[in-house]
Amino acid sequence: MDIFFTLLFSSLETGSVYALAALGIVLIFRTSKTTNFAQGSIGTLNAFVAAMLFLSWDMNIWIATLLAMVTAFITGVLIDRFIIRPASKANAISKQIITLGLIMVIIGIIPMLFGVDPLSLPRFFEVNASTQFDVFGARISYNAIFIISLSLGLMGFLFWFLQYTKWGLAIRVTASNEITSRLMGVPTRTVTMASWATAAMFGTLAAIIVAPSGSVNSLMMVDVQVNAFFACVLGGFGTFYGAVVGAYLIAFAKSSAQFYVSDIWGNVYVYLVILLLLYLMPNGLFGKKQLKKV
Amino acid sequence: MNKNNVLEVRNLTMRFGGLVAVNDLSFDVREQEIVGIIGPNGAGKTTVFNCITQFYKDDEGEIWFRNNDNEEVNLNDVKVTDVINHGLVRTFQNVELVRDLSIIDNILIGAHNQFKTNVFQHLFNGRGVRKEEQALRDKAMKILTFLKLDHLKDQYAYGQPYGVLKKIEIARTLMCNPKVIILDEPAAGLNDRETDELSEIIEQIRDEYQCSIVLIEHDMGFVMDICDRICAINFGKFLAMDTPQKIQSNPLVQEAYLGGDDDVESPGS
Amino acid sequence: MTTIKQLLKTNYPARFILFGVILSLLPIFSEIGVLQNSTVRLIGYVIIFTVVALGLNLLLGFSGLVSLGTAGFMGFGAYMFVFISTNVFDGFLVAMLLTLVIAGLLGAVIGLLSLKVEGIYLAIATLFIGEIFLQIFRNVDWFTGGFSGMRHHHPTFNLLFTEITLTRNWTYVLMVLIMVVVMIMMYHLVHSRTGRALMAMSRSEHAAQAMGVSILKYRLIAFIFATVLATLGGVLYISYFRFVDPSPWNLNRSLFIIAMVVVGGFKSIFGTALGAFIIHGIPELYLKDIFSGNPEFSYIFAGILIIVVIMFYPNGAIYVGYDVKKLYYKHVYPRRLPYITLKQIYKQNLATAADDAKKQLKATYKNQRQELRSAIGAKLEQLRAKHQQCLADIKATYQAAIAAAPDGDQTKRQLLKKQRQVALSECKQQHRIDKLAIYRNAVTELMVIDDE
Repeated sequence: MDIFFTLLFSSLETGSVYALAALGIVLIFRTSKTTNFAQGSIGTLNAFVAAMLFLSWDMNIWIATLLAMVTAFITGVLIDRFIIRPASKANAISKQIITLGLIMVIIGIIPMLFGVDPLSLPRFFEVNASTQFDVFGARISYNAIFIISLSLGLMGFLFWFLQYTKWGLAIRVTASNEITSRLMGVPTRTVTMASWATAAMFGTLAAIIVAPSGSVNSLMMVDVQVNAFFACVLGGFGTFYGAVVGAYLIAFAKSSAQFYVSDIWGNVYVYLVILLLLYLMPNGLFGKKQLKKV
Repeated sequence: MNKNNVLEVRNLTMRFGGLVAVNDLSFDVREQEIVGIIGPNGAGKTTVFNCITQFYKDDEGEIWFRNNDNEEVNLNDVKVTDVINHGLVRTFQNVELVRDLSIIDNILIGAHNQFKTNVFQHLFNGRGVRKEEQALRDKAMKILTFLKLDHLKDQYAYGQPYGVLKKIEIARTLMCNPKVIILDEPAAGLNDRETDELSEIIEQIRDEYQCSIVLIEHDMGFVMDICDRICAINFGKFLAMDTPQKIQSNPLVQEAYLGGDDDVESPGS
Repeated sequence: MTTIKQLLKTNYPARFILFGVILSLLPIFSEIGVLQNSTVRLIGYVIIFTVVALGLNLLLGFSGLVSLGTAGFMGFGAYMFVFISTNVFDGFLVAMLLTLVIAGLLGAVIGLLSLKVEGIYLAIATLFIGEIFLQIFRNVDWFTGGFSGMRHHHPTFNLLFTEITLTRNWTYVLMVLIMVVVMIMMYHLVHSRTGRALMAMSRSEHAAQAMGVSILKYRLIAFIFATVLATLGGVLYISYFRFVDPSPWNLNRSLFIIAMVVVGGFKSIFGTALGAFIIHGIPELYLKDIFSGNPEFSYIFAGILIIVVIMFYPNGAIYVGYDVKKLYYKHVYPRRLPYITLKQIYKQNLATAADDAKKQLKATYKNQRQELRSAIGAKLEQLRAKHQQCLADIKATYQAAIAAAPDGDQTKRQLLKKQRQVALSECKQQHRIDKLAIYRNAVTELMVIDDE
């Protein structure tokens, strides 16, 4: 049992990271009709901001994170205003490719702004013997608990916001039909901009969470980005919660497969299973089949 | 099947979840006849077409068709991509053309199944491929000339006026030696002059290609003017099928269109 | 020369051959020291990318399907080729064909998947496949050599009694040859029934089905073609660079290949080659030295180019030449026409003139041109004065009218201002027409004189 709980806690932690990134991707997909390949890169860029504030300006990690959130917000708004909105007439593939272009620009800009050496970020709470405790024989750190509850709390807040507020309604109707919403007086431009800003902040938070387990470098989010996409297809792009469920499922499946089956091939098996699942359920676990109008 | 009939729809029923879009509908189309299907919005007209051409698989019913080889086939046993091989071809409500291909290439898509060469031969573009391409290109050219579009043949479909696009779609149907052509709202979006030209074209096609034409149209003047018989449906149900004059005076049809309201213009005006 | 020109005009694939001939001359330049060896290697890499990107273009440009696993298939091609060469048969052609057949089968599997899984789900499904490949490259030591990679030699050909191994430069020529063959085949394919069916399938699936196009068959064809060409790129890569390891075959590489297609131009064969050169060649060739402090600059360059091209130039870089020509004929050509006509007349006269009169003719021509220029200049000057007057008049009139309007009457003032706007733009429009008329009249005059 203790092994199971160890796996569960670690996958809850990585799952939270995937879920934050994936939710951002779905949010943008639904409101801007494009898949944001740059979700991870935007997060990385702002994680660099946090790392620089922390290392060079000697700021507290909490303040550095908050300021990085502010820059993330600005990044999201700028990208929407100057790139996505002017290109809103382009077709879906072209818009996807624009976000590929964004990745490249960000990868190129990072060394210009922050130098070529990788930076580092600490955890929110130090992890040592005194900041861990046992649950069912498995060890869990304060840091992990904080990350899991912060992510769940944020996502819970977002779902509450989407479901019960006027602006949440605006986002949902924009997601379901942008043109009609605009005709009905929903400020879809603001909605899209807010989605980009929110997604950028989620991506940044994900990046700041993963950073301590490695270094802050321009490729640090590739793995998260890829898995967030996988989470989106597993849960389906059709709902907001699907991606979150998908993220935790993938994290758990991967860590279990790596532990019980093979630490090298566990991932591959999980991917193959998801591919098979996708073949049987082409719109993900929670997606609905859409009848094409002839 | 009746000897004079080329298409017989028998007891067609199509449901979408709880909604019955087409309900026990039967009608037939004779050789070289122009049949109109009319009905208020949402009457299920396009669904009937989609069932006949196998885009939707119907829940009940049979669709019998006398094909190019004079065999009777139940179209429900035919794959959607094989329907055209039997000589049944359609157009779409929203013009469905390849915008970034030239007009003649768009028409050649209609001859897709008449090409006998395969993809490997295409890679090498041998003599057989070129000969076949030329032959079908000539055929397409004839159709374009017939529809007076030949001067536009190398222009892209993109940016052409709506009337021309509709004509290209009709030209595409003619590539496959059709027995029955199904036109989904051919006159929608056309101005009066273009509509008149269209009715002329449709009659010419019937005579020249000796085929039957089934069409959905809301422009009552156009329908009454051109059709030999008209099938009226409402809420997926058969109302009447008769000559235009009799349909106009049919009380069931009048009620479906007018709903008993006196201040609505009568159909055909 | 004229026959070659004629051939290029009537037979489009001949252009690919000419392109190939020019490219295969590059090693000679490097032999005599005009070009650096590294430049030829770079162009070699661009050629490999061109082959791969052509396959992706068939998928993306013609069939409207996205693949994020292209780099994975490139790597697969390289490893598979080494594996077959060492374990089955060490001859370039046989090993290449075997590799491509296996790749085709894999492509068919993705094609089958694409029938069920659509759009973005499909793109991410190919990303799964790319990730699985990457895991294999890193961990299956007997197949890939793990992180230390695999070495191989330049292509060998087994002739009847001997075996020939190509040098690096001849391998380069072989790659050019293969690229040209791929270009020609692609050209034929997209201009055939298959190409039309692919486009019909992506632009309007329903119409395609109604016309008898089997979606299954053509998705399979598109994916098989794309994977085979990606794999072929891998085969060329290992044959030219003689070493392969897992590092290059990640998502970013796939994204770069997509960028080549987009920047070069959807559906354009030369455009794809141009895109490969712009994305891979230009940063390495020119920008690395300028921005030597920031090796990542090539990323910014490629990224901005992608965004700018999509936003402002969706047809791709290959259309630049065409558009420049169009702009020239619209704006510059009318102004140049009098001088061009004069020159033509002079040339005609020159052709028929006796030898001793030629000098005289040339002098006259120069004089005439001078006169023409000053005549047109004078007329333009006159017109400009008139135009200025026209503008000034309008401004004065409305200035007075606006001043006369009562202070409180804002609507009236707005109206007057709008009217002034319209009048001014009309005046400008007239000026433009008059200007063109001057050029046109000059041409007509010249023609009349010539006829006399």
